[in-house]
Amino acid sequence: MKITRLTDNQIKQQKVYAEKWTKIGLSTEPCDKIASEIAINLIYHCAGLLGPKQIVWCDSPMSQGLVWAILTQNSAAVGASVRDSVRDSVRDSVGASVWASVQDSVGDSVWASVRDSVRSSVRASVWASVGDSVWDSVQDSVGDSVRASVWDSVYGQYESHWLGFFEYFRNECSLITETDKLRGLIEGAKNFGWFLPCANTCFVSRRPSKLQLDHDGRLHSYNTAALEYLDGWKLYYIRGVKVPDWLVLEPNLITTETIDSERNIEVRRIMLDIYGHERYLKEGSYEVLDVDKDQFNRQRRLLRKKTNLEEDIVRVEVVNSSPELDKSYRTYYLPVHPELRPLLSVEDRLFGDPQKMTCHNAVASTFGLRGEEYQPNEES
Amino acid sequence: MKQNQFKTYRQGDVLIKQIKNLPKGLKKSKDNFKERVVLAYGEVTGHAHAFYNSKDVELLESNDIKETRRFLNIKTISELKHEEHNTLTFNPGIYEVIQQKEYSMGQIKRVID
Repeated sequence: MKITRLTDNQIKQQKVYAEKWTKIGLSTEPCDKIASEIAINLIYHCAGLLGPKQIVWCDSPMSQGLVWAILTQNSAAVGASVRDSVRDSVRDSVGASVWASVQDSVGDSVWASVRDSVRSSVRASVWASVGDSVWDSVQDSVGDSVRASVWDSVYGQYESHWLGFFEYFRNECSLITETDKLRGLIEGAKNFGWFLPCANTCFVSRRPSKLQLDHDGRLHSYNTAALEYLDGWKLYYIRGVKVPDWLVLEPNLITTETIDSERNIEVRRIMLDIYGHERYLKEGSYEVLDVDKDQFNRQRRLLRKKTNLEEDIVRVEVVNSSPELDKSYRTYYLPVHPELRPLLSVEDRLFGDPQKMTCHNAVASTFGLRGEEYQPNEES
Repeated sequence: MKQNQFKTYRQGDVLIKQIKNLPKGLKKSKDNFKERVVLAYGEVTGHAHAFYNSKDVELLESNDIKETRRFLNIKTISELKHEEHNTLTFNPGIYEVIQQKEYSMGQIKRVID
């Protein structure tokens, strides 16, 4: 018989589970090696597999990827990835059983209060960042192998959003049989970080030794690495944006030139925020060519800087349509053609005809359009 | 359908224009995944502009060697989500996806975030 409603106490417990699993997801506690290795064997057992012949401990997802890439050259000792068996199949099977046991409205309410809450705190802000950093940090020679390790991994503590959802039903609604196959993954998430399960060998990464977030739950530190692992792998973030280490360690090196030459629009914005917008305009000797307001009534400015080069530098200053988590709005400076020619083709370096120097035409040109062609019906 | 019935949407650095028909000779993009269809990734944030009803949304791309154009075939009402932008809702239809660009001394570069 399906569970059609939750008791007051069961509803109250949703918050407890959201907090508990967020804490697990963000934990930097040292790993309990014995409990972890018991959990790993249980994970294999729950998937109907024999436990791994060896467990290789690593100090970060990065070194886990590197060690795995080296050891898979002797593929017999490692064996094929069993990720689908220990994670995807188990999750799909448990998911089908749990959803068949509860009315949709009950499942949806727990999904929103436990799963979504933990996901936004852990998965979106931390897991995505770590995954991207492993992906980006490796160079071409070992790149493909280590990058593959990202997709063959199970994310341990960073799976906490959906594991918390199912553990809630297991403990609070007595769906024991339905969730039994998850025992190993639940224990694993409580004990270690990523792991990469193969038939004969399981590679396990310890949790980070340090993790620093801002008030909105994004990786953030102005002074030190925001995320740090025992092997010395450090990741620098400012308000959720991954930045080069020097930006945090030596911010006095920021100049108008380093800002202008930064390719990434988010990193450029962070540099500007640290340097100061007005200082940037003043020291960069920008003149204001046009000022208007966008459809959200936010000011835009078209700026030009005279140079000794063949052409001037022209930028349009715009404010983001959607607010930051702290309700503030970000300011960006988009480099545009000195005559606001629409930017048509990257590879062909194809430009449209010159346009009148207005903010609206400048923004339109960044999408390869003329001002009269650019009228979004909806924007966010 | 009259021209003014075609809608244009913008979510950050991605512009999505409704068009009448799909061009011929398109192939399926590698950014169609089991769980989501990704229009653009954020390199330094790990965030993405994506549809999460991947069975009802198909991202296609042209075979042009130089400039790949991308299109969406949206089969049911679908939501484009991003961690830092409000969600946009799309009616079924055909759309072209245009990534924002920026200028750099004679060159055009895709905006990277």
